[in-house]
Amino acid sequence: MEILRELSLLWSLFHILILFMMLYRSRYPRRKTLFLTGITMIPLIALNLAGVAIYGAQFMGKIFILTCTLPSLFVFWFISEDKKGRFFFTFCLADTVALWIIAATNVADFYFGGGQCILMFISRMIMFPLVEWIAIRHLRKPYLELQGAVASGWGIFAGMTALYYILLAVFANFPVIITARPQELPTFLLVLMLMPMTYATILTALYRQLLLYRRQQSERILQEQKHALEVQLENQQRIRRMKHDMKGYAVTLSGLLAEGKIQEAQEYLNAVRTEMDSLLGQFCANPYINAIFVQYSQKFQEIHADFQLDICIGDEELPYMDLCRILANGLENAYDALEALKVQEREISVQMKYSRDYLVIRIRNRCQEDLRVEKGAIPPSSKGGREHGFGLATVKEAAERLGGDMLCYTENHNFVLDVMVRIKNLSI
Amino acid sequence: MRIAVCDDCSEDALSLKKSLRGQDVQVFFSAKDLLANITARNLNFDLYLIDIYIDDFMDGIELAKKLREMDKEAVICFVSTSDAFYREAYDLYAVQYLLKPVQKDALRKLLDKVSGNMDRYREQSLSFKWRGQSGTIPYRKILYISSREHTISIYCTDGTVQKCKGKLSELELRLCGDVFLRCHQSFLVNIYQVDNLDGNDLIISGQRVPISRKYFAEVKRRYQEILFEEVD
Repeated sequence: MEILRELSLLWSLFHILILFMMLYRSRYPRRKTLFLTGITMIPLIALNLAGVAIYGAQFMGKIFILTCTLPSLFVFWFISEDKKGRFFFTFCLADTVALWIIAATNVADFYFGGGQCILMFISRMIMFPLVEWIAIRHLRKPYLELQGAVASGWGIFAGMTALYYILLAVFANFPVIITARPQELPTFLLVLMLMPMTYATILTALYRQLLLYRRQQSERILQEQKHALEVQLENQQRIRRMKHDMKGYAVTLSGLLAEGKIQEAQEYLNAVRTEMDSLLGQFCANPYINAIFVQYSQKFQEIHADFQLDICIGDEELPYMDLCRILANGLENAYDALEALKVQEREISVQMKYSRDYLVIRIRNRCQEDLRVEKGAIPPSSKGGREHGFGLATVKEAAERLGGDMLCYTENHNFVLDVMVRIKNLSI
Repeated sequence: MRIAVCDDCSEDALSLKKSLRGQDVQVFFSAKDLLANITARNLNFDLYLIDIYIDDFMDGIELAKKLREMDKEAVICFVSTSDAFYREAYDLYAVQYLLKPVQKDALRKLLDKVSGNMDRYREQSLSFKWRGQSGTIPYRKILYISSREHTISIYCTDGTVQKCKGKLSELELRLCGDVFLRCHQSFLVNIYQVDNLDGNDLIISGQRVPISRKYFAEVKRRYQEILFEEVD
C-alpha cells in the first residue's frame, strides 16, 4: 500500500513539472532549461520522497509548501522569462490543478477504495496524462500567445490562484488530513467543485484578452494597407496633374515653335525640365525609399516646412518593405506634428547612415513646446479615434523584426525618433 | 591631423587639400603611390580620404581593404561622385562617405568626428604586469576584458590575449567609463568595438560576450548612444 502511495506521489510530482513546463516561458534555450530543471528538480523530488518514506505522507503533506513549493518557485522564477503576475499565475495554475487531482483522488480512494491506495494510484495514472493532453490540445498554444501579447492584468488572477493554492493546501492537511475530518468533507468538496469553475472564468477572460489583441493586430494591418492605398491614390492624382500640365506645356511649345521663337522655346523647355526635376526628386539611389521621400517632400512643401535630408545609402539591397514602413510612419507622425505648428516653426530633418552592423535612422522634427517624452516611452497618439495611434508601435515592431530597436524622446522642443535596424548578416 | 588624400583627379585632390588648410595633408594620385609610400617610409596617417574611382591598378574600395589589412584601426573616408558604394564603404567601417563636390560643412563635420575619436583614445592605455613583466595596451587595441579566478585576460584587436593578475572590479575603476562598460560579472567591453547586440550577447569582432540581466538596460542604452554618435 505504501509503495503505491509513494509511486503515485512520484508520478504526481513529475507531472506537476511537466504541466508547468508546458505553460511557462523559459528565458533559456530548451536544452539549458531541461538541464537546469533536471539538476534542481530531481534532487528536490528525491528529497521529498525520502521525507515521505521516513516521516510519512501525513507529516510531509503538512510541510510540502516549505519542502516542495517554495524551492521549486525560486528555481522556476530564476529560469522563467516572466517575473511578475504572468509567472505567479502560471506557477499557481499548474500547481493547483495538480493539488486538485491529488486531493480529489485521496478522497475518492478513502471512501471508495477502502484506503488501499489502488484507486488513488490508478486514477492519478489516468488523470495527469489526461490533463496534459487537454493542455496540449486546447491550452498551451493560445496560453503562450497570450503571455506574449498581454503584458498587464495578470496580478489579480495570480492572486486568485495563489489563494486557491493556500486554500487547498491548508484545507486538505490542517489540523489533520481531510479524510480524518468527515464533518468538513462537504465544504471541501464544494471548494473542489468551485475551483474548476473559477479557473474556467479566468481562462475565458484571458481568452477574450487574446481575441482583443488579435483584433488590434488586424486593425493595425488594415490601417497600414489603407495608408498604402492612400499613397497610391495620391500618386495617381499627381500623375493626372502632371499629364494635364504636360498638355499645357506642349500647347505653349507648339505655339512658340509655330511663331519661330526657337530661343524662347528652348528657355521654356529648360524651365519645364527644372520643374519636372523638382517634382520627381532624387534623394537616394534606392527606388523604394526614394519614393517615400518624394511623396513626403511634396507633403512638407505643401505646408511650407523646411525638410532636410541626409541619406547615406546607395542602391544596395535592403529590406525595403520594413524600411518604407518605418519611414512612412515616422514621417507621417512628423507631418501631423508640424501641421499643428506655426509655419516658421515647421522644421524636419531625416538622416540615414550605416553605423557598425546597423542602419540608423533619425527623424527630428519640431514639436509643441509642452510635449515631453522620456527615452523609452511611446507617446500617446495626438489624433483621436480608433484608426490612429499605431504609428510608433508599427515602427517599433518593424525595427524589432529587423533585429533592431526604436527609441523616441523630446529634446529642445524637438521630437526625435531614433531607429536602428541590423543590416549585416540579415537575410533580406 | 595627418591626412592622406588619394585621388587620380588632380583638380579634385588639390581642391580637397585647399579645403583642409591647417592640417598636415599629403596628396597621392594613385593607390600604388600611397601604398608604396606607406610601406617604404613607414608613414602613418590619422585619416585617409580616398576617391572610389582611382585607377585601373586598384579602385578605392580595394585600396581601403588593403589599408585595413595593414592597419585595423585606419580611419578611412571615401570621396566619390557616385552614391553607389555606401554598402561596401560600411562593410569596411568607413568613418564617412562624402559626395563630390565636397561641401565645406561636411568636411568640417568629418574632421570634428575624427578628432573626437582621437581625443577619446589619445594617450589612453591600460598598463599591466604579468610574471614580473610590464606591458601597456592602447584602449583602441582592446576588444574586451574577461576575468576568471583572479586572472584577467585582455582580448586585443590583433587577436592576441594578454594576461595579468587582479580583480575586474578594480580594473573597471582604473579604466575610462566612456570607453569601457561592464556587461557581465566577468566581462568589460570596449563599447566602441562592439559590432552588434544580438539577444543577450554583444558581438565583438565575431566573438560573443554575454550581457547579464543586471547590466542589460545600461549596455543597450549606451550602445544605442554610440550608434547614433555617427548621426548629427
